[in-house]
Amino acid sequence: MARWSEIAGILAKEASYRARRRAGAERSRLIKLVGGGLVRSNLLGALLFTGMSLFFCIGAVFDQRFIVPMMGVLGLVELLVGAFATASTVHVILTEGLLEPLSTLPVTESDIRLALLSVGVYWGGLSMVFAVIPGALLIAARRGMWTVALWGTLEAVALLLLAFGVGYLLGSLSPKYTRSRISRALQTVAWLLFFGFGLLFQLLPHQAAGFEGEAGVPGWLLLVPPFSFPAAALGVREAIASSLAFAALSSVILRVGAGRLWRAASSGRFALPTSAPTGKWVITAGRLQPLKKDLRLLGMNPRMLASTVYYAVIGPAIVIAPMLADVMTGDSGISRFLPAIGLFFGGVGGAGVYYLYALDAEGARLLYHLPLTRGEVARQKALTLAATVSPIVLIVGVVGALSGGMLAGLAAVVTYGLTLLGSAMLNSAILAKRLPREPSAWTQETFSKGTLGLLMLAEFVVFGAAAAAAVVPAMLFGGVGSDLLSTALALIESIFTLYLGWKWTRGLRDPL
Amino acid sequence: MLSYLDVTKLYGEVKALDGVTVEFRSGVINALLGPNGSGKSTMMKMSVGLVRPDSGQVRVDGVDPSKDPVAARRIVGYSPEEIVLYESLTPAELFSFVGSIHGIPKETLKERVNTLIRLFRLEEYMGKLIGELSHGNRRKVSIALALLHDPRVVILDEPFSGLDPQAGKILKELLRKYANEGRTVLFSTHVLELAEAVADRITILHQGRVVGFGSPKDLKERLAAADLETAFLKATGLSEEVRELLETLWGS
Ligand SMILES: Nc1ncnc2c1ncn2[C@@H]1O[C@H](COP(=O)(O)OP(=O)(O)OP(=O)(O)O)[C@@H](O)[C@H]1O
Ligand SMILES: [Mg+2]
Repeated sequence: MARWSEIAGILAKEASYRARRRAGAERSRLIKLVGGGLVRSNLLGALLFTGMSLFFCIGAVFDQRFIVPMMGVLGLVELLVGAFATASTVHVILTEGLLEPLSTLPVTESDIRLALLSVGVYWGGLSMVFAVIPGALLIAARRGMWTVALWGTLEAVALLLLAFGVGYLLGSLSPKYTRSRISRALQTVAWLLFFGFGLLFQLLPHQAAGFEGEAGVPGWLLLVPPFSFPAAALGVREAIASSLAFAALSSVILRVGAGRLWRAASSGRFALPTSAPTGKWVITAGRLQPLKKDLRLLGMNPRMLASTVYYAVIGPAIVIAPMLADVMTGDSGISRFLPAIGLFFGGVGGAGVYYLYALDAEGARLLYHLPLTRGEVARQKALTLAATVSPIVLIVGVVGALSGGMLAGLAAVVTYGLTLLGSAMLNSAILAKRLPREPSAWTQETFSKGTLGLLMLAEFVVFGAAAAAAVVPAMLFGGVGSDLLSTALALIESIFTLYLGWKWTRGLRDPL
Repeated sequence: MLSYLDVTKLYGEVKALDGVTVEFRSGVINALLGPNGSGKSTMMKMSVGLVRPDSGQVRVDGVDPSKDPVAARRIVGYSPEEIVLYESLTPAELFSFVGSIHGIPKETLKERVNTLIRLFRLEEYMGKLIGELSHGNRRKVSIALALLHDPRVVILDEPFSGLDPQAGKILKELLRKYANEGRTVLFSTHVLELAEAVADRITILHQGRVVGFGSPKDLKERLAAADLETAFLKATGLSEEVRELLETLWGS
C-alpha cells in the first residue's frame, strides 16, 4: 500500500472515532460526514445531484442551444458546493488537529496531497461529480454526441480538483489567527464575497431562462470555464484550449492549496510570529463578559464573522431583495409591509447563531469545567448574535425611514430586533441541547450537517407564515387603520417570539 | 471534603475505577499517585461531573457532582491534566470571562488576578495571546483559572508538569496555605519525591483500586520500605515486575 493511502485511512478513522466519542455513549448514532463507507457517505449527495443534473439537462436533449448554459451552470454548482464543503471539512481537520501528529514525520507534501484528496472524495467529494456527469451522459446518449460525455467528465473532474483547491486555500486561512487587523478585515471581506456567490444561484436561472428566445449564448461565454467544456464538446476550438488550460490551472491550485493547508496544519495556529504588544491589559467583570469574549473571538476569526453576518443578514436579504423590489415598484407602498418584513428578516436570521458555537472551537472544552447550564450558554450565544448584527438593525431602520416614513421604519427596527433575538434564542436552545456531553471542541461538524438546513427551513415556514398573517389586514382593507393593525400584529408576534425564546432558554437547566 | 464511596467506572471492558472508597479530608494536602492508566484523572474528573460513576457515590462538600455538576463546579477549582484554553484570547480576557461566569465582583476579581499573576510571574504575558505562550506559562494560566473563584476544594491534575522550579515552589506553598485555611487540596503527580515532600496524605491507585493510603511515613513503615519509591512499587506489586524486566533486558 502506498503511503498516502495509509495516511488517508488514518485521517478518516481518526475523524470518525472522535465524532463517535463526541456523540457520547448515550447517543450512539454516528455523526454525518465521517460515518459509513465510500458509498454511504456519497450516496445521498450523488442521488440529489443526479436528479438535479438530469432535470437541468432535459431541455438540452431536445434543443442543442441549452447544452452550453445548462452544463456550465451545473459545473458552477459543483464548484461552489464542493469548495464550500471542502472548506468546512478543512476547518474541522485543523481545529481537531488531525494533521498535527503527521507533522513530525518524514512524509512528503505529495503524500499529504493525495491523502487529502482521497479523504475528500471519501467524505462525499465523489458525489460532486454527479452534478455534471449524468446530465452529460444523458445528452450524449440521446443526441448521439459522445464528445459531450467526454468533455462533461473532464469538466466534472477539473472542477472537483479546483473545488478542493479553493476549499483548502480558504479553509486553511480560517483557524489561523493573525494579529493584523487589516488582514483580518480583508479576510472577512473575502469570505463574504465567497458566500455571496450564492447570489449566482439567484441570477443564473434568470440568465439561463433568457437564452430561451435567443440563439445560444453570448460568444465570450463559450470561452469561459466551465462553459467552455460543453462548448469544446461542440467543437469550438478556442474553447478546447481554454478548457485544457483551466484543467491544468485547477490542478495547480489544488497543489498550492494542499501545500498551504499542510503548512498551516504543521506550523501551529499563528500566521505571523508576533512582536506582540505586551503592554496594556485590563481585568473587567460583569454579566457582559461572555458577550465580550465571543465578540473578541469573532474579531479574531474572519471566517466565522463572515458566516454569521452572512446567515443572519445577507442571506435573508438576498431572499427579501426581489420581494422588496417588487413591492417598491408596485404602487402599494412598501411602508405598510415593513414591520412584517422586519419580523421575517429577524426570524430567519436567528439561525446564524449556529456559527457562534463553532466559534469556540477547542476552547469550548474549558466551558465544561465552568458552572454553566446549557440554557445560559444558549442565551449568551443569542445575545452575541443580536449584538453582532445590531448595526444592521440601524441600517434597516434608516432605509425603512427613508422609503416608508419614520413610524414604519421604527416599527420595522423593533420587530426585526425583537424577532432576531427571540429566534436566535430558540435556535440556540435547540443547538445547546444537542451539544456533546463530554468536553469536546465545537466545530461546524458538532451538529449534524442537516441541522442548519432544517432550522433555516423551519424558520422560513414559521416566520413566513407569521409575517403573512401580519400583513393580512393591510392587504385586505387598506387605509391607515388597517396598516396600524398590521403593525400591531407584527409587534405582538415578535414580542411573542422573544418570550418563547426566553422561556426555552430558561427551561434548559441541564449542565454543560 | 471530597469523598468516594465504592465508586466504579467502566469504559467498555476496562475497569477504570473498581470499587474505590477514599476520603480526602480538608486541612491537609492530599496526593494521588498511581501508574499510567490507574484511574487518577478519571477520579478527579468525577469531582466536577465530567465523568459519572457507574455505581457508588462521589461527594464534594455534600454535593453530588453527577447530579448537580454546576453546583460542584462552584465549589471545586479543577485544573485538568490536558491544558484547555482559548488560544486567541489573552490571559487577561480569559480571567475576565471565567471570573464573570463565577460571578466574582470586579474589585475582588482584580485583586485575585493580581495576586495570582504576581505569584506565577504572568504579568508580562497578560496582553499576549494564549496561543503564543509557552507550555509552562499555559499551565500557570490553567492553574490560576482554577483558583480564581477561591474554591473550597482544589483539585489539580498533574499541576507540576511543565512548571519551572520557581513556579513549582510557589505552587507548593500555595497548596500548603490552602490546606492551612481548612480547604480540601488534592493533586496528582508521578514525581514521588514531590509527593513525599509536599503531601500529608498519599493515596496510591493501581488498576482502579486503592492499594495504599496514609502519610508518607505510615506508608513506608507499613511496607517496610526505605523510600516512597520502594513503597510505591511494593504497594502496586510492580517491584517484582521491574526487577524481572531489568534482568531480562540487561541481566543486571
Ligand atoms: N474516554 C475514555 N474512553 C475509554 N477509556 C478511557 C477513557 N478515559 C480513560 N479511559 C481508561 O481508563 C483508565 C484510567 O484512565 P485515567 O486517565 O484515569 O488514568 P491516569 O491514572 O490519569 O493515567 P495517567 O497517569 O497516564 O494520566 C485507563 O485504562 C484508560 O485507558
Ligand atoms: Mg491522568
